[in-house]
Amino acid sequence: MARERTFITEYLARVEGEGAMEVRLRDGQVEDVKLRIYEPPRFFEAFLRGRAYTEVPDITARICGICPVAYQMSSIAAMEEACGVEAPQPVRDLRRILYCGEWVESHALHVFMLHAPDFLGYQNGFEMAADHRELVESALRLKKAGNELMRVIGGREIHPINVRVGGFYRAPTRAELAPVAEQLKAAREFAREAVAWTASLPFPDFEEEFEFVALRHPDVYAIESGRLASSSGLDIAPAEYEEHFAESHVEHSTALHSHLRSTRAAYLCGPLARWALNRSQLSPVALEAAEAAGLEPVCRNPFRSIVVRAVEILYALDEALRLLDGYEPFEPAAVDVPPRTATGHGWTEAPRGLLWHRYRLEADGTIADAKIVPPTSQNQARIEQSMYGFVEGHAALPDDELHLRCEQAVRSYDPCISCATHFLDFRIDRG
Amino acid sequence: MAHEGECSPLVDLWSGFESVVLVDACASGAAPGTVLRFSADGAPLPARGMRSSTHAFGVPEAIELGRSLGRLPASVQVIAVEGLDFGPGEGLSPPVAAAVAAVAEDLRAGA
Repeated sequence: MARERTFITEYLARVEGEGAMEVRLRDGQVEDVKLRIYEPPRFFEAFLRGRAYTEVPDITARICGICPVAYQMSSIAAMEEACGVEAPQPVRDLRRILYCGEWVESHALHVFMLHAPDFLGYQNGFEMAADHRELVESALRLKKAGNELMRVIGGREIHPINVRVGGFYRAPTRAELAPVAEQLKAAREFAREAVAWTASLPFPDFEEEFEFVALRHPDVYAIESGRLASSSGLDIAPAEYEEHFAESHVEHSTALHSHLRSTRAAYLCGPLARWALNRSQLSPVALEAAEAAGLEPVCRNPFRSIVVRAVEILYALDEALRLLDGYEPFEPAAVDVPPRTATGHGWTEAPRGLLWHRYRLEADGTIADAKIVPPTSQNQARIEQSMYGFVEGHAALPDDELHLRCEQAVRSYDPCISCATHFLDFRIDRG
Repeated sequence: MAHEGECSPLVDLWSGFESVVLVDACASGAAPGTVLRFSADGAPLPARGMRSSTHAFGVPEAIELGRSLGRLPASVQVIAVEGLDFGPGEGLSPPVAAAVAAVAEDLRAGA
């Protein structure tokens, strides 16, 4: 039996890799917390070597099943920087609409199907669905609107095929976009109510100080472009990322842990960071809903990230509709991006946070090497720290209860599926 | 119809159908090319082998979601073909390709 289990774990390492959390307590005191959330990009970095720069949107889209657009957009930003090309405004606007679709789809899955069940005492989303049918049906419709927007612009619901370095293969017509605009409008009321609903959930009493890191754009709530900002005042361009941030290998995890070079401290990116650093740039309706829901200017309780995600869903709907309103199809659908020997850097705000790419290109555009730093990888060190603090305050809970609360805490940062499906390995060792 | 990625949309895809046959790859530990058959008609699918991601609903979860919402077709049969290599690349490995061809043939013949 044990032998069989080892074999399956190895196999799954090729399919997805393992996620695990280990908590060690002695005499009711926390000795150690180790966290491992699966991150795929390392073997993709190797796979990208030798491929053409034009293939990067199609390959990187497959890194993440729920955030393909984020990978495509970050990779394209890096390639366009390398080749010294800036895409024209219509391309950038259409990219932002596409990205809004992904924010809606990803956040809706996380908020309703993965995180909300924790707050209501359910093992998972489908258990919750039996008792909260209307809520789940509305959430699925909301998610579907996001997916449909991705399909119309991206050409396919997952792994968009219409995206290329320089722009798109074809810009959709207004007629093609009209039906999905209606779906987005239809989902807006539910999205607005969801902000209040998430804020009404029972929140564990838990607060922390974070060093937040997020993109910032002068004109809009940063998603697909911007400079990097932080709680302690960083203001840098993509090419400066590695001067300020470092990754180190941690023994217990296949992921690398990130920290700020200046302080050696762990930091947090994602919705909480964006809310703290850029909230004034949200749409009036989203900001109003957030304030009515009692979200403080800086949210220190990571569990309340579920409310921030609900706010961002509402914002993404608003923003997509705003841009769709003024949208006109454009030709050519892409600008030329002639390759050259160069290193390019690019970043965007994936639903989970900052996603940075770097590529070194040869003269003909062949990828010489690639580095991809995903948000969950950047957050792992800080999430682990957070879990340590959380377990410290809840060590007296019985194992089952502690396990559930820890999962709920991890899901404040990462949309991982419940351990009930036996995928996330959770161990408590009380000696 | 084909679907890829996160599986919660399956609930909508198979809405209105009486009977669904879903064909997918799996990683259960069986020999590559092995064809496994499951029925979702009375009980959940075994989760082992059919997990797809730490971050998304897979086929078993989508089925349970449909069941909870009262939207599962009267008959849902799952045919899973054991994969060999899930790494990046193109095409099916020979034992898997052969198994898939046989499954397709069976389905066309109404089996």
